[in-house]
Amino acid sequence: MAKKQVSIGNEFVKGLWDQNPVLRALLGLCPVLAVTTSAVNGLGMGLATTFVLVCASLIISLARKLIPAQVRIASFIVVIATFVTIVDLTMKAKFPALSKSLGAFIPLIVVNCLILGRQEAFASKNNPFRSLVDALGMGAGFAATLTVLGGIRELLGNRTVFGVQILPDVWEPWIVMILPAGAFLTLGLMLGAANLISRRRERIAVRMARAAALNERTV
Amino acid sequence: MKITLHMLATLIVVGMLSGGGLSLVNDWAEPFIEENQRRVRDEAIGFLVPGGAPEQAVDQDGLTAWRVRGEDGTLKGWVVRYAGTGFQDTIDLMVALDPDRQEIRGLKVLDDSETPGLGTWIRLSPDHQAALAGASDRYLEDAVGDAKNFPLQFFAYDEGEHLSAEGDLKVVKGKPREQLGPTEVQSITAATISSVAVVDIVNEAVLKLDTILAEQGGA
Repeated sequence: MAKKQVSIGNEFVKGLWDQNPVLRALLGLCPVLAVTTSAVNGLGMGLATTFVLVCASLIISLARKLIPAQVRIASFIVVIATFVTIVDLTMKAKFPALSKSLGAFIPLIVVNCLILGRQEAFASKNNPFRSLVDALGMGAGFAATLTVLGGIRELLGNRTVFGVQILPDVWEPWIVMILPAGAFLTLGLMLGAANLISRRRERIAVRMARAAALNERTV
Repeated sequence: MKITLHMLATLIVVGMLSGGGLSLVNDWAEPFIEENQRRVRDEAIGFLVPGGAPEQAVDQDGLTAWRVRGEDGTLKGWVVRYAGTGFQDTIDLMVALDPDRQEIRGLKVLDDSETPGLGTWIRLSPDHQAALAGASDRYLEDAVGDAKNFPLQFFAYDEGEHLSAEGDLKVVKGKPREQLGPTEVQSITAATISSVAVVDIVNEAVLKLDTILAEQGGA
């Protein structure tokens, strides 16, 4: 079976849009919905997840030929849990405020299906460099989406973004945006927008292909 | 047989590496985490009963209490730390009492996972904390009546009245603070469960402290 080789650049970019873990693959939605009450929380969660994803992908990719298939999931989880605990302890030691506001969701990164999913689908089949780039792309996509989601909710629900007041005092904060319902509403609208944009891009691509084909025929 | 050994060996090696790495990280992080916790605790005690030196009096059954003495050795007050179940997860708080343990002189929530924008009003806002730290009578007349400023009534209300520390506090809904007595606590609008949880923890803490001190005195 010939393997289609994707360029390294695409390996990174796909995580940002085409295979964005939240907007396209709908992975790891539990922390996505729960912690994005502010932009800082979204970014913090995104970076913590990215760190775990990158480290786990690197280790698993390096050890992919040593781990027998029967115990791969167990090994992946142990590796992931190790890095999550490292993040948890480091945050508690150095960023107590952020650690407090993310609460139980840092330890729960262990069961984030995005991370296990990338190990199973990518790192266990690709070389360390590719896995690293893939993990960075996926992590960046995840962190960016969470930051935007948290930013929108914080803006409408609290008038601020990253703690800086943006909307004037006359704006009555929409408390629902900070409640769980606001997470679903915002995520739903973001998914809708993402679908709209990618459908439009597809349509343009089809039209360009058709035009190219027509050109060829006339030439 | 060979594959079984391989599986066993893999899991053992992964587990050992993970455990070893984590113990190193933990050794590094633990002093920082303890230092952070100690700082939070000391700051809270210093804020609740200012101008004194705390000496630990009780550490039993999840309840910690400090006597705070002034420079000349007089008892300035008590600080009790206790935790209980909130709307979501545990609420960990400190209550300040007068030297005779008859009245409540302050409240500070140290840790909670209440709903942002609603239950989180059980926390003292940074502005109010700064104002209280500067006010010798601990009475913020303009703010105390607002249902959002729930913790303020635990400091002082109605020209320096204090809530009862007999363990008989109860939450009252929909009545302004000025119509309530020393055993009644005005609840946070749309966060009754959080309000009740805090009041229950406070009641339980003062009763438990009484019991423990009586036992100590009797022994």
